[in-house]
Formats: sequence, C-alpha cells, structure tokens
Amino acid sequence: MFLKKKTRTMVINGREVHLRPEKFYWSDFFMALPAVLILILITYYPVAELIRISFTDWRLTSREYDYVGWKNWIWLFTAKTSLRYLTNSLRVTFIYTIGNILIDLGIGLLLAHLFNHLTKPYSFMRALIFMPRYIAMSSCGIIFLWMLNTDYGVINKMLEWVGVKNHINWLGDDNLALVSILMLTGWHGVGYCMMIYLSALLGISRDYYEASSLDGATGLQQFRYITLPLLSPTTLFLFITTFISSMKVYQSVDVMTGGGPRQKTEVMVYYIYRLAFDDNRLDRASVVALLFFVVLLVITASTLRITNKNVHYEA
Amino acid sequence: MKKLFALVLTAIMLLSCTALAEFDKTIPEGTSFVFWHSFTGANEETLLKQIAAFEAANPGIDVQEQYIGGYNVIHTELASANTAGVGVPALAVINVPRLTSYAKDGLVEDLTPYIEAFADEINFADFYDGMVDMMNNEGHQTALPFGQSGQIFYYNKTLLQDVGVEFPTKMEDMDAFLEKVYNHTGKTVIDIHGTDNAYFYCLFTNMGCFMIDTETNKTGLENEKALELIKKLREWVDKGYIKWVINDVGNTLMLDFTSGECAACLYTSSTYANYKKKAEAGENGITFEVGIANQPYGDNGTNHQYVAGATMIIPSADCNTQAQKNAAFKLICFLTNPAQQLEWATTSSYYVTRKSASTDPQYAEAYNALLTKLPEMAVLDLNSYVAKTKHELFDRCGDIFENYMSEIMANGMDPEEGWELMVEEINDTLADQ
Amino acid sequence: MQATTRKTALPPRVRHTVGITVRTILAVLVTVIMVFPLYWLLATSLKTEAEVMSSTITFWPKVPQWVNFAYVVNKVPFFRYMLNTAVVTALQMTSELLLGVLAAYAFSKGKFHGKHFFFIVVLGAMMIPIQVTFIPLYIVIARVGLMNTYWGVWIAGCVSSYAIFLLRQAFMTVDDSYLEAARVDGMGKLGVLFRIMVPMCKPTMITVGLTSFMGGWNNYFWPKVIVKVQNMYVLTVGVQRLRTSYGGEITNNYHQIMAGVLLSIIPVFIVFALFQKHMLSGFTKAAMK
Repeated sequence: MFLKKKTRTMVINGREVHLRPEKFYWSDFFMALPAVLILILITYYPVAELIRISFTDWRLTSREYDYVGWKNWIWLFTAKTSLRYLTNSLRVTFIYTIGNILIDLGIGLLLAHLFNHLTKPYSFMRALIFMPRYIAMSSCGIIFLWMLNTDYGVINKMLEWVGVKNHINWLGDDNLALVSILMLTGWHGVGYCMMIYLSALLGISRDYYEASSLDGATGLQQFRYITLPLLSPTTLFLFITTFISSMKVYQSVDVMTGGGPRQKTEVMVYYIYRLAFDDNRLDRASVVALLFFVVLLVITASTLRITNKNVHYEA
Repeated sequence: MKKLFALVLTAIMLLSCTALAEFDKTIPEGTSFVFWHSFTGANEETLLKQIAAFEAANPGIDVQEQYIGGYNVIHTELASANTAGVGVPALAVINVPRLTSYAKDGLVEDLTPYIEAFADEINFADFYDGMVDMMNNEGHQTALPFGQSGQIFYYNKTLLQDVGVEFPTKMEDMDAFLEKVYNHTGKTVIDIHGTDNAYFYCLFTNMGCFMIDTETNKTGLENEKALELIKKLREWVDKGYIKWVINDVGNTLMLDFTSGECAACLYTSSTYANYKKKAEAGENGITFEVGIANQPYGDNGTNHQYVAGATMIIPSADCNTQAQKNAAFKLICFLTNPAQQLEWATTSSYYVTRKSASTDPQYAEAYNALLTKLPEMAVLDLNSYVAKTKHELFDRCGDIFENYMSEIMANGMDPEEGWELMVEEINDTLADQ
Repeated sequence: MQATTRKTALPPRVRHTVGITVRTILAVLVTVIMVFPLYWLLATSLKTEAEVMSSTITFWPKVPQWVNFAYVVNKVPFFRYMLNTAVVTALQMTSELLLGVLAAYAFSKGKFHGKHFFFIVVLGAMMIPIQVTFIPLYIVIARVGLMNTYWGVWIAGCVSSYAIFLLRQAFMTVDDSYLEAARVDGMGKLGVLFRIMVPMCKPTMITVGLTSFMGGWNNYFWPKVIVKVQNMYVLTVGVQRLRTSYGGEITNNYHQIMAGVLLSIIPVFIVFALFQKHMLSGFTKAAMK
C-alpha cells in the first residue's frame, strides 16, 4: 500500500519482455523537487551531520572538537555504561510502542464501533472524544501531572472514595510510570484512531452485512470475517503511523517523568536527548541516534514487506 | 586554609592581570545586551526593578532581560546557542553544578581580568569565600555569586514548641526527634526532596561519604557508612517518619508543609519567603511559624553546607562584543553589591553573597529590614558554606545517586542491593570517560 | 443456531431497545471519562491558588476566578503569542498544502525517474525525530539569521511527509480519464492539478489542512529552541513560560497555567467546530487504500 513497485518486465507468451522505460517529464520532477529538497535540508542534512559528529569528540558546551575515529562507535557497542542504558531504553521504547499501538488501535476500533451511529448526540460525543488531540502535548502533560499527583491529585482522591486508601504513586512507581504515560498518550491519540476507523467503517458497503445476515452470521462472526479484513488497509495505515510516532515519543515523557524513576520511562529519544543535553555528549548522542534510526528503518521496512501481502484491499 | 586560598587567588589574579594589562574596559554609549535569567513572580519583579535602577544609573547601557525557564531550560538554550555562535546572551544565570563543564569547554569568560579592571566597582574579597571558591575553576574565576541558595530544613516552629522539641543539630539526635514528633502527630515528620541529590547529599558528606573521590576516581559512597545511612533513612521511611517525595516535588512539599501534613521538609532556602507567607496567612488551613535549620552534623562532627543555586556567567561567544561583555559585568557588579543584595534577598530569600552586608554598619538598616522580614535567615552561617567537588561528571553521578535513593525509599528496593548497584553504576560512569 | 435461539429468547424489539440503551450508556460513560481531564482543566483554571493547592478536592470553584485569565493576558503578551502562532500556523499550512499538493501530484500521476526513490525519501523523513537532529539544523538556521523570526519557526515544519502521503493516496483515486479529458481541453498540468484534482479531493484537502493546522498550532519543541525573545514566542512556549520556578526548579502554578492553556486552545476549538464534519470523510481515501 505504501509502495507498490511498478514492474518493469512483463511475461508475454512465456517470454520475459522488457517494457520501455516510462516517459520522463521534467515538469513532474520539478513539482516534487521543492518538497524533497526542503525535507533533505531539514531532516537528512542533520542526519548526515550526526554521522560526521559521531566521529568527533564534540561536547555540547564546547565550540571546538577533534576527530577521534571509531571511538564513539566502539563505546556504543562495548562500554558498560552504554549497554546498560541502551538496552534499557530500547526495551522501554518497545514496551511503550506495543502498549500505545494496542491502546490506540484496539480501543480506537472499539470506540469506532460504539460511536458508529449517525445521530446528532453521537456526533457531538465523537467531537468531544477527539478534542484532546488538538491540545498540545506539552500542555496535556501538565494537566495529567496535576491529576496524577500522588497526594493531591484528583485521580487518587476519587480512588479514595471507592476504597483505595493507599495513594497510588502514579509517576514514581517502577511499573506504573510507563502506564501513566500510556494513559496520557492514549487519551490524546485514541480519538484520532477512532475517527479514522470510523471513516473506514462508513466506507464498507452495507451489502456485505445484509448478505451475511441472511446466511445467519452472528455479529461477532461478521466482525471477524467481514469488518476486520476490510479494515486491514486502515489498520496497516494506523499501525505504521502509530508505530513511528510511538517510537519517537518524547514530549509526554519529558513533561511527565523526565525518564524516571531510574530510567524506567527513558525511551530512546529521551535517552539520546539526555546524552546530548544532560551529559553534554553530542558525540555519544549521535551514535545512539544513528543506531536508533537503523532500528526504526529496519522494523518499518520489514513490517511493510510482511503486511503488504496480507492486506485486503477493497475492489 | 581559606585565607591561604584567598591569598593564592589574589596572587593569581594579580599575575593574570599583569599579563592582560591591555584589558579594554570601555563601554560606549548605547551598548545594549541580553540577560537570561530564571526568576519568576516577585523575584522577577525585584530583579526588574534593580535592572531599571542600574539603567538609570548608567544611561548608556540598555539591558534586555529575558526569563528563559528553569535551570535545565537555560542550560539547553545556552548550550545550543553557543554551538551556533549566534544568539548567545552576554549575561546569564545558570545552575552552579553546570559551571564545571562550561569552564572546561570554554563556554564562559574568565572573569578574573574583569574583576581587576572594574576593581573600583566590585570588592571581590567581600564575597563569601566558599561561594567564590565554588565558582573558581583551575584558578580562573568563571562566575560570580548571585542567587545562591542552600539546602535547608524548614520546620513548623509552632508545632515543635507544642511537642517540646527542638530541631536536631546532630544526626544522632534525629531518631529521638522523629519518634517524639511522630508519636505526637501521627503524621510524616520530614518530607525530603527526593529527586535532587543536592538536598540529601550533605547528610552523606557529613558521614564522610563523598560522591567522587578524585584521587581514586571512584565514588566515596561505596563507604559502608553510606549504606548505614541509607538503611537508617529507609527505616525512617518504613516507620512513616520520613516521606521521600519524588514527583511534582515542589508542589507536594509546599502543600504537605503548609497544610500540616508534615512537621518539616528539606528543600531550597529560596522558598523561605513563600513558605513563610503561606504559613502565616494560614492559606492551607493551619497558621504557624516557620523555622529554619541547617543540615545536621554528622557523627564525626563535620558539617558541610554546600553552595548551590544560581550563579552569574558571561558567555565567551564572539557574537557579543567586548563592550557588551563589559556592560554585562557592570551589571554583575551592580547586582552583587551589598545594598542590592540585601534588597534582592528580602524579596527572594536567596542568600546575600557579600560579607559586608551583615557586618558593615553602612548596611545595618537594610540588614535589619531583611531580618525583620525573614528572621530565620540569621540561623544560617554563610561563612561555613563550602564548595562541592568540582567534577564534570558530578551531575551525572548525582543523577544515579538520586535514582537509586528514590528506588530504595519510595519503591521498596532492598537498601543493600540498591546501594551495591548504585556504587557499581557510579563507578562505571566515572571509569568511562 | 445460536443467533436463532437468542432471537427466540427475547422479542427483537425489546432486544433492540436494550441494545440501544446499553450502547448509549457505554458511549456516555466513555465520553465522560475522555472529557474529564478537559473538565478538570476548566475547573482548575477558575480556582484560586488556595483552592487548587488544597488537600481537599473541590470539583467546582466556589467563586469562578476569571482573574486567572486576566492574569495570563496581563502577565505575558498573550495576544502577541496568539498572533505569532497564527502567522506561523498560516505559513505552515500554506506551504504544507501547496508543496504537498505539488509533490503528491508528482508522486501519484507524474512520470519521472527516481519517483519511487524520492517517495521513499519523503516517507523516510517521518521516522526522524527533531529532538535528535535539531542541533545541526539549529546551527544552520541560526547562522543564516533566521533565529527569532517567523521563517525560522516555519522552516522546520514547512513540508509534511504525512500530508504528501495523504494527498498522494487521494490523488491516486482520481481516474486518469478526467486528466485526459482536461488535457484534451488544453489545460496545463497545474490547471489540471488545481482545477480538477484538488476540488475532487476536497475532503482530503480539508483533513490535511486541519492536521497541519493542529501541527502548527501545537508545535512546541522547535519554536522553543529557535525563538529566544519573548515577543516572538508561540503559544505553547508562552504557556510553559507561565510556570513559575523556585530555585530554578519548575513548580506548577496550575490555576494560571490552565487558564493559559484554555485560552490558547480556543481558536483551535473554533476551527474544529467549523470543520469537524469534513474530518471524517477526508481520511476515508487515505485509510482505505
């Protein structure tokens, strides 16, 4: 769906025939050019710079640096300090990503079903659920920070009423801290997934359901054998976009926990940021960043490769 | 020892000043410069007032002051501007522990020649020695004390009087104190700021355990005494005497303390004015008098009070002219003079950084005004403040230290296990450079 | 069959009513949970500091404190922030849509070598977080003198891979016969693009526009870094700067921050109230292909 490479060869009468190359229009090329050039400047040029910095000993607070060869790369793969934090942040990032995908896609799909009702009150409720999405994460974080305060937060106070007397240490507990961040990002993002699923559901022809009802299929069966397969392009779309944005998560962690307690919420981007700005090690931050890009690229590419075969497109 | 140090310092200063005899201290008419600070609320208002007074006294200088954010934000913004060499302020307030890296990497100007050139405007010898020492890196004075604060205990004086106890001055009396107060109130006795090692670090150094031993390049926290103290603290946490606050710390400490949920808390001295106001107005339900106590003495009779908080630097970046840097230094001279320091301290409860403010009769009136408003300031002996280990990994190691302390105190990690892991992680970090 | 046995257990109409009721209760419940933080935002913004910072929870302030809003507006140049944000957002929306439409046309209907390669380049950019790469970019932007300017803020978000992708998906659904017909009528490529493709894909345009509006309005990290003078701040940064700091440590004066947050989202709220119904249809094409 993202990329369907056009075949340049065709098999005619058992012989492989090379098609003539497609026609080249300069005008088409120039239409794509501005966007591509700007993206190269604002994203690829910095990455190229990171490659260069990874061979230096550049400290953030310094304006001068020397080239030190592979030192930082060796550090990345051998130093105890590197491996400790690297494996930790990779693990945290993956757990967060899986959790966030489950929440956004899973709950998003459930909500899409629940709110798949074209009446005014439902449309109003949908709008409300979508609302968190248009508040900046940096602001949402502050709201949650306050609601989740251990002793004075409204959530713990309300839990007190239902009998949870011990205040839950949402942001300080080893396991709950990440859950709290998932709560925040889930709250922020689920409405968006719901909307996209909903728009996909509306696109599915009623005929499928009517036909299967006549055959005596239950609602669950319809969901399993009609809805889910027909939603698979949507799911893939959401999966890829949510996957990438979850792997890049930073802002919510920054506002809520600052990576704590003891790196339990230190996701990759936060770790890289910490190396660069707390430890002032731009050089080390660069090698970790480059490794992270490779990981992200490999996973995304292989996901696309695998799923492209299993996605059902509506005719 | 301190005298000797001051002497050596002066000697170095004199030497460097002969070397830099050409220092150009002119400030042409119409010089304007950018000043980044981290103060908000009433503190900011006072600062702005002082800057306005400075501008009135120096009509040729225009100060563009700018609140940037907390210490971390200032660091990020300053460092990134520095890498680009553009948009760097001529004067900035930073957090003291950052200074070591800044000095090592040449981000900041060496202020020594400035101090010499502007000798008639700044009496360098009048600063508290410990403060000046903290801001001296390898013989270079890289910053000057402004907005200094310490890590102190606030206590509910009214409550302690009811219980009939005094806040302990020695660690060994702490047990009895905690028990007595706890039995009286049934609530937490002390809230401790658990996410910044600066607050509880003194407790450890008073037991002789330092974060970094520069000779062996290992952590002094591997001393068994550190483990003992950790176990003791954990015991107090388990008994409910101490609450280790690890999130939304500033607000939680303030709420706990002013609403009587705890009898004391360990926090920055710069909130004194604020706490006092809230407690006396009874904003959170109870009205009481606020007391201040120093960190308690350790078992070997030492007591380290550390210089912390803010400090003023002049970044070295070329995007500011020498004239702008001179003007910035002139503002430092102005803001750190005893009269301005007293006015500043009276609103902000940051420490006065000049000795003569409390001794010179010339400032007696202002000093008395300060003590009338913030009487407990007299409890603190700023002469006893000393510099922490100046090491570029101090902050990083401190992060590890506070991480494990939080785990042990607030997340139930076994003290011994946590201590071992912590020592290992700090030693790894120190070895890896 | 299971379905038939259930049908016999309850008359269909009753079953239907029960279903509707359960569904409505569930929907309302979910909505309440989702809206609660927003309600808390509103309630907090109307409290006094003592009410916020109190050990007993109040769900609605005794006397709504509209002064909090006045405080925000007086304390910082709030309307200036809003203007800055509006300018930057408008620039960003314009360039994202314009460059996005052009690129999307090239990647959907255009014919040139390296089309796939360049498209991968565009999509790959989505994977690179700015928090990691901003220092080199910052150095360039600062050195060409765009620090503290609208253009400096705009540049980092002026093209969106996501927008290009969504628009490309939509354009691919436009049948080639329309294009042929237009070309026969003597229309140039740009004419075809703007007179036929864009109007045909109006819902997607609106969706992309709204997404870009949201992105621009809520952008925080880059504007925070590249703008260092108060009167050029955007709202998100301005709101963060409302937080007070003691001893350099940020504490949260929640009632005032919440008032700031609330004020800053009003324009977004209005825009969404106007365009909400188009949002749904816009995603259909991207999501179904």
